[in-house]
Amino acid sequence: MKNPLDSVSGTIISGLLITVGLVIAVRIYVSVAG
Amino acid sequence: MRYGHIFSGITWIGLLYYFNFVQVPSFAQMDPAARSQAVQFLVPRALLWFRWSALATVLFGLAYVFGAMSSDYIPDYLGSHRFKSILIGGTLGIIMAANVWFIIWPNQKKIIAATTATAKDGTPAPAEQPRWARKALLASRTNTMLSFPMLFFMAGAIHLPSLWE
Repeated sequence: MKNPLDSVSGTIISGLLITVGLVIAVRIYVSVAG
Repeated sequence: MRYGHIFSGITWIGLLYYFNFVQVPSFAQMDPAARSQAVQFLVPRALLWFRWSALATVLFGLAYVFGAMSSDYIPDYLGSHRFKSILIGGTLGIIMAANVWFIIWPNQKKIIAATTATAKDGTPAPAEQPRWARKALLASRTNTMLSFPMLFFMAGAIHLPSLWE
């Protein structure tokens, strides 16, 4: 499997996906913790 | 403290994007003599600003957070949305600065020394050089990847309070 960090576009997409993942994690935290 | 953090942060992340979006693709197209010149004279200067601005960004950021904790300018700072956002962005930033100082710079330093030795007295490039370059590249790309959530949560501390509501 190709490492996404080998290309600039793969790096940017990975970064955006991590951002979205963290935002979802925060929203779950907010809904659980109030 | 905040302005010091912002100025050094712009210098750091600006150079990070220069390395990843400009230098690495350009080096792949340059002829070996031009690349050797760039590694000897351009890269050390860029890395000097890069690593010290990374350290300055973290130190200014920590000083700002500790200052905010110990003052009553922001009530209940540790329980605030601002602190929670800064905690996520700051953790990513500290990981990135550690990458700079403990992976990228040590490997780049060896590459610069080997390239300079080759240019000066024809010393053959060490067999490990591609491995140093690979390690530095992956750490640099990891930092570029982490810079997106880091910047999102740093800016979100002030500009996106609704994230936490």
